[in-house]
Amino acid sequence: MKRSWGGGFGRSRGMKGLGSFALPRLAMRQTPESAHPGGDLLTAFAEGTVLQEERSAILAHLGECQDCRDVLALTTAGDADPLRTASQNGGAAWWGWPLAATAAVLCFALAAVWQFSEFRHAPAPLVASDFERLQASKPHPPAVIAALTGRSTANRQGGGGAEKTATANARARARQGETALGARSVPRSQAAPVSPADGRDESVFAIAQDSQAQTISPSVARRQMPGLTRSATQAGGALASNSMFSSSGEISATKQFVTASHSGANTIWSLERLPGPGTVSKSDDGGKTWMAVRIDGVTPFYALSAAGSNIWIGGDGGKLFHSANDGLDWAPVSVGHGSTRLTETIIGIDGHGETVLVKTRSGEVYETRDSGAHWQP
Amino acid sequence: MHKISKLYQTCGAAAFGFTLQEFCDLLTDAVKRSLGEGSSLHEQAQFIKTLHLHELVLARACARGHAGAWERFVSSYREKLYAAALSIARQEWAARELADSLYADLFGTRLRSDGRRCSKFESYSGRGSLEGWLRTVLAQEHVNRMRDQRRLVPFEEDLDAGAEASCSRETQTCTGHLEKATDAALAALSGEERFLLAAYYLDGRTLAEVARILHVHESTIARRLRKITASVRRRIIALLCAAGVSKRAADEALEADVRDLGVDVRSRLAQERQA
Repeated sequence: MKRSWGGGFGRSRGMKGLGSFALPRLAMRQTPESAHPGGDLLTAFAEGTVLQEERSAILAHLGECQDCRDVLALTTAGDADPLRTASQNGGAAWWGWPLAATAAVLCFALAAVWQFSEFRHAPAPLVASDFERLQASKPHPPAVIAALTGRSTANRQGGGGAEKTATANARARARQGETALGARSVPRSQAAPVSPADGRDESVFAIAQDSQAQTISPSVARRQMPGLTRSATQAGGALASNSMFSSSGEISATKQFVTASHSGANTIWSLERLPGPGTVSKSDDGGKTWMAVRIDGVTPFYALSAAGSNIWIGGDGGKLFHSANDGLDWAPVSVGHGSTRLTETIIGIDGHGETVLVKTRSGEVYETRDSGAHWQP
Repeated sequence: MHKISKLYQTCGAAAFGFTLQEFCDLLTDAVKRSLGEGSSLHEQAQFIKTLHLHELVLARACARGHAGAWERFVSSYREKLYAAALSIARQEWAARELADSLYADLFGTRLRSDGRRCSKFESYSGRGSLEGWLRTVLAQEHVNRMRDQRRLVPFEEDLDAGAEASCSRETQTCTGHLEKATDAALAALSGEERFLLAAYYLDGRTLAEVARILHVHESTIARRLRKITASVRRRIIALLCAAGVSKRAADEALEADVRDLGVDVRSRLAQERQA
């Protein structure tokens, strides 16, 4: 903490100083008259969520209390400040504002051209490398940015060939032990195009989760969700993480999702930070309403795979649960090989029929081809 | 009531053992702490929207000793807590001590008369994020420890501080009018303006650090500081002139460095002694 200012009178830093006469007088006022704000209130102040009258009172106290200023500085020290510039000097250079304005205009123009060209083309299928890149940029697991892409009935009728090829490719990869889980920790059911048999509608849902609660830029969201309309991403500026969207442009929820998966036309399963451990959420109406489904009420879950009525959920302590009847009943499944049993946290599940792949936090992958009766590393 | 039921379901209070009534009491307590009595329903509703309810429920469940809540807290916040302690204390051993100390306080090492633990979680009311609150509490503890260490300064440093203080008192006597005018000018500032001056000039914070605290751009801070210092100077000159000091003398007084005045006085006194 910076305390000794006795020799630093008249700190000017490029601006007219306060004058060394005023600093001692200012220092003499450092005896707060009001009580120290509690940790809760200081936190709210640091996060910008206090009421206006509270803010004025806290600032008045901060003007006289060095301890509280030090606490606030330590509290906010780790915050990424999007408004920071490289300059630590007082005041911007005289050419700063015109240059910044010109650069902003150029950026907007380039972005407009890029966006227009993007929307002129047919929506690109979801690319797993997007997940890989985004996943790699997240330092804290579990960090999943998942998108569910639905295809229109036109695809079902005329595009079945593409879907069948994609599904066959996925199964081939599964047989070879190479899946989206291999290096990406993203359940493949969330990355692949939808097969016609699933009968999904054209809604597009995106669930973004980041343990540091970073925002997702609209451009990233649109790459992940080709069907997402411009209005949805422009509604509130940058998209908030842990949000769910639909292709109609409506932001339907701001739940704290960990991951989610389609299992039917309008059925979505999701893991949320709440309603608490041991539960999952299910929606039968495309995300409009949700209900909590209790599994064991204890285990924090991080991984989910849902295909038809087969739902797999995994989490802490290597715990894995399976439902073959769309969540009506749940059975614990022991993952292991030989005499060893998995006790590590499961962070990824990729299920296709009887073949299921499970990935742990340390990167190990286990596979079963008989719905969990036997496992191989 | 319907809205509270909905909140009760969405924040998962039931999973942590809270009944609807207990959840209502939780909200009522949070509202009373911040808004006091007599707030309108609309104000209360708006206020409740700003609360981090799921974290509040988690914290209070931990305070009650709910095992599932503790599991969730440990899995979600333990690493963040230790990382925050490290960024505050800078040294690993100090950070570990700081974090362990907070852990003990959160768990509650003292028992009430009814046998319940006194957990620090009970002071969290959901105004800010739980992660932010943990960081603030760590920072408060760290600042308290540093302040206690500062009290235990070596004897020689005490003497030096006293000598410096007495020297500055001499110089302040010489600038009585300036002192009064400065005090009046500083008193006329708003709390935010005094905070800006103190944070920048006394604490030595950078513009970026101050900007981060107030959630503005650092150029805004620079602009505000320029305005405040200009305003303080203008007010001081006006007060000095009102006290009978000429404008020229007032300008000179503002430009003079107190340390120079001090040196002048001491040299003058030394010359008088020799004479």
